[in-house]
Amino acid sequence: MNVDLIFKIAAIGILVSILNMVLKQSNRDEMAMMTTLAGVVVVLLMVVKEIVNLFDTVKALFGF
Amino acid sequence: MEAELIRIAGIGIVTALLAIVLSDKKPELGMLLGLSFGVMALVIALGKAGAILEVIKESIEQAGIDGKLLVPVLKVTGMAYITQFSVDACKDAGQNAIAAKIETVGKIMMMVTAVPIATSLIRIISGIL
Repeated sequence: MNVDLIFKIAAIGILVSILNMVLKQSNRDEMAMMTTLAGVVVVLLMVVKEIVNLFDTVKALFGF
Repeated sequence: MEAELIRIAGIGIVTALLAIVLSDKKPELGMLLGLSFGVMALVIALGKAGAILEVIKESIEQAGIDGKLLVPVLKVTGMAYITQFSVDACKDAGQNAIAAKIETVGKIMMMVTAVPIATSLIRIISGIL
């Protein structure tokens, strides 16, 4: 199934936190914040697609 | 069936470990990780639940009970799943107030769905008396 989704999210999270650290070290706090925001938005888009999938499954199964 | 259970259990443990690593630096991404695992597990489980529903529908038809009575029951079950899922997601994010509101809305909507059954029951009882 979509196990890769979880690994993908974890990888994005680790990458974003590393970028965040590097950018904060070089005194670019606002850029660090933007990276965090971009990471969260990208992951959120991925997760929302799956949530819609889940809700559609429930709807089809229980005859809404 | 047991293969799916073992798979979900293993993925769950791995997800928990990843979430621990991630929540230290980025709690919001850790929450999304848990959410995506929940979605995945539920989709797998509900894909298997379709067979049970077919059996229930068949046996209700054989027993001669009105099939229309089953529809609200199934609807309420599905609504309960969706409500519980979103409540858990909000609680994971630490938003207990929003979770409580979703729960209240879910309860009201389930009650609205269940009212036709209750009225038909009252009608049957008053027909007997």
